[in-house]
Amino acid sequence: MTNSGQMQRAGGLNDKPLILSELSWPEVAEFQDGVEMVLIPFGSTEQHGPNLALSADASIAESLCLLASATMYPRLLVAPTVPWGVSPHHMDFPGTITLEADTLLRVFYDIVDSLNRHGFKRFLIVNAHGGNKEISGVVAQDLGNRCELEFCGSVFVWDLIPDRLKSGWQKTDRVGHACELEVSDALFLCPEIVKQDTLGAGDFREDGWDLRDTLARYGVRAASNMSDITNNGALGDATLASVEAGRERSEAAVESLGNIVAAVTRSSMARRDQAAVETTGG
Amino acid sequence: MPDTLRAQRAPLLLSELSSPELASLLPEIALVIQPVGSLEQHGPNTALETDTAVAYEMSKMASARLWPKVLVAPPLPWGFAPYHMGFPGTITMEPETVIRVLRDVLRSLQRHGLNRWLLTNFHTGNEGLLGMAVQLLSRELSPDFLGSCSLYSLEPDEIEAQIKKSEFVGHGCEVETSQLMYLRPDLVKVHTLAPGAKIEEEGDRRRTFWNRGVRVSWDFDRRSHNGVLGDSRHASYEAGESMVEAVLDDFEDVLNDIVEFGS
Repeated sequence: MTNSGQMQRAGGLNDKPLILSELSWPEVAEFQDGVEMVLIPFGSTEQHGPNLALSADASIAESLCLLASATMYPRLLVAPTVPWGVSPHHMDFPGTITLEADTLLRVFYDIVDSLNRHGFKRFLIVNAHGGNKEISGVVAQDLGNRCELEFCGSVFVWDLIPDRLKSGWQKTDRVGHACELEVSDALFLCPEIVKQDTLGAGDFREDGWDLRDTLARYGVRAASNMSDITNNGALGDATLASVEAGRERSEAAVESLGNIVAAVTRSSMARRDQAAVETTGG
Repeated sequence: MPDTLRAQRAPLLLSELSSPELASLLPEIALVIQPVGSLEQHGPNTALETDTAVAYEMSKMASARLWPKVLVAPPLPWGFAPYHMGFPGTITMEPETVIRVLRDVLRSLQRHGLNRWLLTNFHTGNEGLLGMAVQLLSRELSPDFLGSCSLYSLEPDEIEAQIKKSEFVGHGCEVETSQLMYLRPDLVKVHTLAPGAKIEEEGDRRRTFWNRGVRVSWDFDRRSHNGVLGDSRHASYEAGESMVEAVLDDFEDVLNDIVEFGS
């Protein structure tokens, strides 16, 4: 990966992820049969207040996939990270990049179709940006039905973490972006993106929260602007982050990924066995 | 601007900055480089991300030389490589996909006041596509500057002549691998470096057409059994250093001219 030479990866059991971009084609051929799932890290390039680099979501998604891959080596192949996502609500802050939904549909189709043509049949998009959840779901369903795949899914990393590791480590009421939870995750997974010297709590704009809270209560999805609710782009209080919280949360997320992969593999094996029985007339 | 940033004079990378850090640098940034890569076979010699890595690393080094005027955006990690699909691991994107990504990225940068862009590239398969992207997006977005530069075009002939030991080079070869040894040695498969297993007939036919101005499509697995054209056993760090630094000297001049252009 383009950043892996410089990234400090969180240590896995043997610190040895299987990274597609770093393999030669003969190595891909060698590892292919043992790969149970291709992980596609999906992030964003967007403001995270004074607390994290613009690459935060991409770095977190990528680091988590690398950690899972190292833990389950050599069964998880990590494809190149998609480093931009759906971030129009962050465009009031410099440096944010946002992609159209159509663009992302095409990006994921081309990636999955290419790898499928080489014989990879199971894909999991690992998304670290809340704003990507909708398009990730659409992509998973669309590709899963269009291509000849055994599995195509997408998951949001915060959904991989048990609730107790959110409520337990949460220190403020309004979390979710460049907050104590996200910065904790970064401190463990990719500490180089944390701006230690300028960590700050969210500087809230109170007049924007009535609408936000109401929409959240009813699950209303809407175009919005982060600048309506926070002056510095952050929520929560990053000064209350800790690497211990990040470690606990990330290790739980990796365990969840392992459970997902295992269930998909079991299901695929069962279907293949069934098909073999039917072919031979059992 | 934070003193730490000013002291570093390291490459200016969009992905590494926070939004407030970028905001403080905006008045000094004169150009954004958007590297476009490829994920494709390079035989047993180098990693699939070779072309992305070379374009990105050279863009970074240029940014350091011109600090703080040149900001480097995160690279596109894949490109247009359908003729490498005969080898496992290659990803190829539809032209429309790449153009849409570039459009969305450049339009986003434009909204932050970054209106001068240079696409950098190290994969021959991307050349036509990037040429078209420049034509289309210049009209659509009306930037102050938009161009594309395939960095291997800046390779001095005399240095290539020193490095080149095989009759035909061009992919996974000693010229390319030497540069990767200098820029990203971790991506060089030193234990399996091998010469191209060239399929003579196909190469001859294509070369005959090429020399007469005719461009045809071909699949790389019909040109070479292992995907390589050249002999990376002749690659070296020193050769890579001399080539890369020569390219960067020219590239620095070009970038200075772009920065001056229209300002």
